[in-house]
Amino acid sequence: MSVRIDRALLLMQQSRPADAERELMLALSENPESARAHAYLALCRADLNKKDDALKAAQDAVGIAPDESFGHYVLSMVLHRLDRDKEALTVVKEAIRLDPDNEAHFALMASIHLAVRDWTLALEASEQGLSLNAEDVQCANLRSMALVRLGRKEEAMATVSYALERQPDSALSHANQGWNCLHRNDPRRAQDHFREALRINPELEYARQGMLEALKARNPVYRGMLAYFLWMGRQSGRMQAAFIIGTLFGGRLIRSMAESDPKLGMVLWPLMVLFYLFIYLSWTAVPMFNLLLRFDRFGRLVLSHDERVASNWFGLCVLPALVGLATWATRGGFRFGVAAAVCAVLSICIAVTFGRTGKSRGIFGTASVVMALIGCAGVGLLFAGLESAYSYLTVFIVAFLGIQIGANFVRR
Amino acid sequence: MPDFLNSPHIPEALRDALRLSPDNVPLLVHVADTVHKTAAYDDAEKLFRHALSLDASHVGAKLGLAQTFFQQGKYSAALVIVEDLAKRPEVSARALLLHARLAQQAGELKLAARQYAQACEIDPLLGDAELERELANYLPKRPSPTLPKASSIPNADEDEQLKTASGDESFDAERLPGGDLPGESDPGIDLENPDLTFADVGGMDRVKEEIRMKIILPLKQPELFKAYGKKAGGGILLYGPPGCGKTFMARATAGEVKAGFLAVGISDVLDMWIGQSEKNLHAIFEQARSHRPCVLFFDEVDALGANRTDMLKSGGRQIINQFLSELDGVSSSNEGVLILAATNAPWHLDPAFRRPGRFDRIIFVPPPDQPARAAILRLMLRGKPVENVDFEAVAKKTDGFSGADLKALVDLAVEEKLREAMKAGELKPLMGKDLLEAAKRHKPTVRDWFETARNYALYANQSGLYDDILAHLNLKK
Repeated sequence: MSVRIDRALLLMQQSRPADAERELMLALSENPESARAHAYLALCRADLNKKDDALKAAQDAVGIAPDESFGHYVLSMVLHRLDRDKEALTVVKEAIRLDPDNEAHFALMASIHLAVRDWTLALEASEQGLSLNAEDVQCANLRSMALVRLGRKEEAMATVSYALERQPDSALSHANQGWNCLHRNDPRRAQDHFREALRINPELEYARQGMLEALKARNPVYRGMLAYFLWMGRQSGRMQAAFIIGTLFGGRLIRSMAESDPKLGMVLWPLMVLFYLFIYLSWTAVPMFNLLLRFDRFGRLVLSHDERVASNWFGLCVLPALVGLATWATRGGFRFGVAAAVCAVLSICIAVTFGRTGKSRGIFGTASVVMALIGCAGVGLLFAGLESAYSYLTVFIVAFLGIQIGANFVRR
Repeated sequence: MPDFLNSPHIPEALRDALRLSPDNVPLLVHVADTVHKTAAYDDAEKLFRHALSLDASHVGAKLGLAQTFFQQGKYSAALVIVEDLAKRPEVSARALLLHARLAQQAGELKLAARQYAQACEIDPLLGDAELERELANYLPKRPSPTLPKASSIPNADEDEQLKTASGDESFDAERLPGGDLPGESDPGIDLENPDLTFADVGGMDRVKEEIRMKIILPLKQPELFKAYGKKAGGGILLYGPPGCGKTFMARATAGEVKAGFLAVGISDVLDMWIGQSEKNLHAIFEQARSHRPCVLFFDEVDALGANRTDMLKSGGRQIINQFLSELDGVSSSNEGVLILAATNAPWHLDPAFRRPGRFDRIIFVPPPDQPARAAILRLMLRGKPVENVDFEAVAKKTDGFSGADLKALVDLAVEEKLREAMKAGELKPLMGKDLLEAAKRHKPTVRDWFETARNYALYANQSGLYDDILAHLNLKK
């Protein structure tokens, strides 16, 4: 192997992908047909977030040496990072066909299965990897991730404990154990694991997000919501859709029962209020509790810049909503109630917008701004006592329904 | 005929010639050179490529294409071609000059200086004052027509002359005996004698003070330090975002103590890893010991002293252990050898390096504050035509800019001024508004570094190592 490739490998181990990329370019100038150099170049570029270039380099590696499993493995990894999981799966299968004794190939396959929410196949792949190397920490972690999603929480904990015995300074294992603790509704122990994971690797986003959830889960309301989110996360896409539609119709049924029978209504109306609160929280719990975390000394530091911005905007909507609600409750006045509702709806739009990235955030952000303008105009006209207010508010409600439907279809 | 042969940048006569002889490679190269001179780089690139498609081995076309890539900012592509040209026995001076520029662009100043010197040797008319200034510390010293300054740096060969010329008896007294290896054991690192001093470094007062206390005073007042049982020498680790002057500071330290300066860059370090040559590392330390007082500077030291758990797979722990034992001075004393190291990623450095006696002072080099930015801008614009520049106002508008960012800003403003001067045909001085305009166009480059550093300061700061980062970011845990 060329000295330049050796140097590049060393630089990659030292977390210097930009320097490694340069060495590999020089290696390729000496030998443009080196499949290994192309493959490593793809890995460096993937680390540097040069996605298209990484893909091209990986394809070149496979093109030059189609009978080498490493090129296929790297191509699959790059495709996986690009969220092209179906193609990644096909390619990693080819890598396994060429070299069925490499546990890293099975680890990658398990990771792809997890990304497409196929927990059973992910478990199978990780176990195949472990059968090749029982001490492979990556496969053990992936097995644990699959197990916890299949509801086998105790086994998941035991798997990570085993991985931690083998490699106590694995940030990924600590982070996984933290998430396992969260799945078991034990945020205190989760915090310990996340703290350790972040001490070992402060840049592990998976651990930072876990720490954030563990901190928020100190609040019993959020703990309940987190349990719901994690439960939903474990379900398949179909099951999730069935649950959402079921709750929608269930809610309507209870409401009609409460309206038709006043005696039942005494019990059902408070239930309905709780139900609507739950629906509201299912949209807004994340920015709402992030906002509350801003008052926590450590918690405010754990929040990312994006999360802080989202909580600011959310606070800007929810505060007037609370003031309007309080005024409506104490002094009466339909207009205050409408103003509170408009602000609450806008807070949902904020949560939807910041729950997405890239283009879809732009689309929902624009829609939210338009809705805010329509809603504010409607409330303003209502306070001025003009009839046209209702037209604006009707458009506002229709737009909100549109955003809700869109949010269920557009990917995060 | 391809479209690019109808480019408006091709003079009419040459276009006619091309029509008559479209596959004439020398003609094509000549036309491409002509187009290149008009700064129509896209057209020139197409012409050079066309010439190469007809004759893939044409050196002139290759060099022309590389120069075009360079002008277009496609440095990697240019480098690939030029490295190939530079390997040839009959390499041209222009190719070497371009290689030097590319190497300088990539931060490989030593290589750049070597290629530049070779280019000038072949063709002295090719000299580039700007490049020469950039590479001044790496180029072989030319005889100067002026008398040497009293503060000029003593060189091993010039010791005797300096002793009498400077009359600095205390300096003579503190000279320590050389190490036990003869000078021939040079592992390939050139000993420099930097002209820079702290006066050339804008701001960084805290860093200067630390270095003065740890390095300069023990050398200048050895009796005082000896009375307290303190030895001269030891290590300082400078860390901070890239482009904030860590390397510059190290060089200025060597200039300040009038000591030799041995700089070990990442390229030298990588060669050590690949060759598994602990001997090379030992030889570097011995070279430093034989030129006492000497500043031994390790740039990007995390590449050499990477956290040993990170390097388990590479089986390269011996070199780290060797580095540690050299720092400890196990085989020979390090007295009089001042070890400075710089890194952008202190978190990747093995904690063993932080033990007392090794790098026992760890100094955060932040981006310059407002007064420091003003001072840096003043230094950068020294000798350039300026008018109505309110340095304080520019410094105020450049919050978060590193030294390298400020250099980029000045370059941007100068380029704009040059363009205006070329149009107007007269030299126009650089004004404050030009710098402010450039500041709007340039974004500070240290933000990413602080994003990473913030995480380490928040979560991996049990020993308080990164408290300075927390203080700089105004974060309270």
